Amino acid sequence: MTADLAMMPAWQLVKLYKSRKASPVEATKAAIARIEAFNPKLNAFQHLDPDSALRAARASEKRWKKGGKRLSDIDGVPITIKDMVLTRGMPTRMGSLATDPDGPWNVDAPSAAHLRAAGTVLLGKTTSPEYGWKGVTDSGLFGVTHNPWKIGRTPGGSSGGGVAAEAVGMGTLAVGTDGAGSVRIPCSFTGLFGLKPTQARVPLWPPSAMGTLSHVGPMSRTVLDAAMMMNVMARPDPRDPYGRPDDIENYEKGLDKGVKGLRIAYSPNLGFVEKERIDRDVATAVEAAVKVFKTLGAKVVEESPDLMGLDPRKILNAHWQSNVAHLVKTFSEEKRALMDPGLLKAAEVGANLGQETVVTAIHQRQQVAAIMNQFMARYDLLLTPTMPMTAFAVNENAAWGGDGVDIGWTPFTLTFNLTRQPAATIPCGLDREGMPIGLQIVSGHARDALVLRAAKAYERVRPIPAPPLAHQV
Amino acid sequence: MKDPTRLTAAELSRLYRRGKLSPVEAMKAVLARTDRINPEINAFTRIDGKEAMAAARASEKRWKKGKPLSPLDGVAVSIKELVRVRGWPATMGSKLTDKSPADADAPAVARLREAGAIVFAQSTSSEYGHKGVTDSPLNGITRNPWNLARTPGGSSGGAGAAVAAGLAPLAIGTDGGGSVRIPSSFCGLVGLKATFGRVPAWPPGLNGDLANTGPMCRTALDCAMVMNAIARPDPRDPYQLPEDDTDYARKLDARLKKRPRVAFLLRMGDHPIDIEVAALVTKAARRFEKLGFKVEEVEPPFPYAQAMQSFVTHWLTNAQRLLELYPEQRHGEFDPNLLASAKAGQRYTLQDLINAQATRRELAVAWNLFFEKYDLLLTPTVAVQPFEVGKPMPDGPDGKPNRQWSPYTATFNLTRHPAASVPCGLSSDGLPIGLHIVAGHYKDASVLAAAARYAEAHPLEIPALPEKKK
Repeated sequence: MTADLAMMPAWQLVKLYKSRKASPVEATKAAIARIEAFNPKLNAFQHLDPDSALRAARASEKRWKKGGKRLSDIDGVPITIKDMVLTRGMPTRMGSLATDPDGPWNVDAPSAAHLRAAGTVLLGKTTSPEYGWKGVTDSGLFGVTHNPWKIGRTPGGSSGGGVAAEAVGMGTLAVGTDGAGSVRIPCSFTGLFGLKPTQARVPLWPPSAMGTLSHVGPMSRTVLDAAMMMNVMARPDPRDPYGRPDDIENYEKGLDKGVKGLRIAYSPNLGFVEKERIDRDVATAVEAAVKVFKTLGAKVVEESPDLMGLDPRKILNAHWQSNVAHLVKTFSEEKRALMDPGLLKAAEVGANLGQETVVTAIHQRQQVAAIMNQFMARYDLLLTPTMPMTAFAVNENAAWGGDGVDIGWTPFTLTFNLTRQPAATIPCGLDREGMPIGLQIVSGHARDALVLRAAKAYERVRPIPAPPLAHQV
Repeated sequence: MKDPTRLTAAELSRLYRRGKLSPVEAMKAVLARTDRINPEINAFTRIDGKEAMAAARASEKRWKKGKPLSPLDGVAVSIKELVRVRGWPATMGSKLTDKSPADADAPAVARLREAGAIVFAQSTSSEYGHKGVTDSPLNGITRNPWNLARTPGGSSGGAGAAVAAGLAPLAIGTDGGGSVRIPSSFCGLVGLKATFGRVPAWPPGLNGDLANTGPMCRTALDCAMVMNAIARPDPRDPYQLPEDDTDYARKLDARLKKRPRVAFLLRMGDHPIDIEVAALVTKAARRFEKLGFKVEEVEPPFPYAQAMQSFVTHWLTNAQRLLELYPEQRHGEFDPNLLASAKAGQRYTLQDLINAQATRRELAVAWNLFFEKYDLLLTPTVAVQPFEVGKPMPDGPDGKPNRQWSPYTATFNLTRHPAASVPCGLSSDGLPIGLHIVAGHYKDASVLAAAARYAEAHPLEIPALPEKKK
């Protein structure tokens, strides 16, 4: 029974809690058992605290007992949080040897605070490359994180630890962050569902060096689980000055309404990604997934936005390279010597961009956003591949042998960090080598619930499979 | 019957509904007054009398049928030259801009037309809205109807001068660092810079996400009526906030929650303040106690010098883009003040810019936490009285140009908080002084309600302007 509890979705777990067929302590123990079994191979955690997790689980258990008062619909569910999100009582190292190992660790970021107040059980902090700088997950601090679908492949990044844990039941829910694709890249590479909500829908603090490119989002094995997480995380916090007005959205409500009659644009290349860059298995799987939406009654049209020659890759590169240049400068020379050489190189490129280049990029970002907004005014949803490729070997900084300074290898995801639109990824098949492929589902601002609803409709006919490793207990 | 040009939009609307006045009569009166007064104040770059009369006749029919498009149906409104109006060139106070007619209305203009308001004139701005007074190479000097030797402020100075002079009760301005609130203060009006994104805008402008479109009117109620029209979604603005269906006019009458907490500060930092401005604004803040608020004197939560440096860095690096937009041989046609700003912008390094962005985020967090503690903030809108036309800034107490004459408004462009100016008295020279009211994000209705409550208790009657030259 305990092994099943670990892979069980949150919505099912809490049903068992309610009927007292399982308890948060059992679920937490099941997750810890899986951590012991799999983490040595996957290296998904930067920090683990089974004792505090069990304490939290026991407290939750009391609340689920007769007469107890649950703190939320996911009270007692084991979760993991990425090393980029501040957590009280657990170190946050940002995947970096240059950060202070001694803390203090005395404050929760908004999402961590909301999840704590909801009674969830925090198992530990998942690995990230240094300051989430690249779309794969390795760091001087904690080494290489592997993909549960194939050891030796990257889980993607930067929320790579979170997905490696999530895919094999080392936690029921995972929190990631996404500045150019860092929730969607790893979810695509490891066959999970992941949502980058509308910017600031999930509040963020302290302010990220990436400014309004930064997002916090759920990563899960089912769409309903992500909706349940959003119900907890997508609540205001005065510390985020970009925080959106509280919309009191219930993300579970209407989740099963399907996609019949919805206007969907399908764009195989978003109008700017070179077709030869897109893996043929990816293109085929995404095409097939789009057909599923047609079968489900959506009105699908193949159309790409006209970006008027603007290249989102260049715009995003200028934003993030200049920001990491600033980030790196905040460290002393000795500390800098400890940092990832790839990150330092990106910082050097950023430092030499020139101010006018960055100002131009900021204005171009607005233009792209205005174009996408007008495009989305005609459609409820937009479908694209999440990634042009599937998971590649570990110890690379980027796909296609790149050094990671150019983040352009994830063009589909980064576009929606620029525009701040909600965008999710859902698994839509495996490539010739058995590695997962992701379909990206995008909507207009504040329509996060619609993205979840579309993903749920797809999931109902194409359930999300677990990696073979998850069954080897 | 009172002269229709002295009536507010709300009053006109009531008379239209009762059939006591028609939009045609009101429009005629506005146009006649414009003919007479505009040459003195130079508030408008263009007046579309013929189209306005046609629109007024159409509105008259709708009112007669009892089917107005909105309460604003048949009320005249002027639009600042930085905002696009279909068929008009968006001149931007510049000799260099493309003078071919715009092919689409900006969102606020489109919403106002849908509400039946009559878009009848284009108001002056400083070139690209770059300074807090209103004169430009394209249009010359715009004057304050309270005293023709003084500036109406800027950059929405044409809008402010027009409304104060009775050239329509409504105007649309833009505010990238105070450009709605400064002229509202200098002209004795109520002007609102809403929460960023509350009023959709298009196309993306030179000042990026500092810029806001907002109403300038004689009363908070008129501002609320305009907000009811323009705070509606438009797919062209990716920063627009989700529709919240607020009825701003109705919210003016909402009952006060128990003793709202009001913070009051006279200085944002180490900058001079005119003694009469200080006295009138302090008096106004005290009056809030009697209106049922709990007023407390506070210190600003963030260092002023750092905030201003962040603002100036954002502002000037944006201005520098003009140098790329237009060929170098034409740069001599810019307002020398704007050209100097653009060139100053080029001297900032990337590090300066990134620091400014980081400061902006810290500043916004600090003020956000501030507004957790206080429902409203009161400050002066501007630190000085309306000063002489023809210069970008007044002289300070030391006789040197006072660069810090407008220290209150720009912070809230950086932080995106809603902020309004409401008149709180006249100086000994008979010039209006503004009270700045700021609140937490999305509390635009509370800002207008506070302005309405104050103005109701302490109204400023605007005389027939322009007054005769002294």
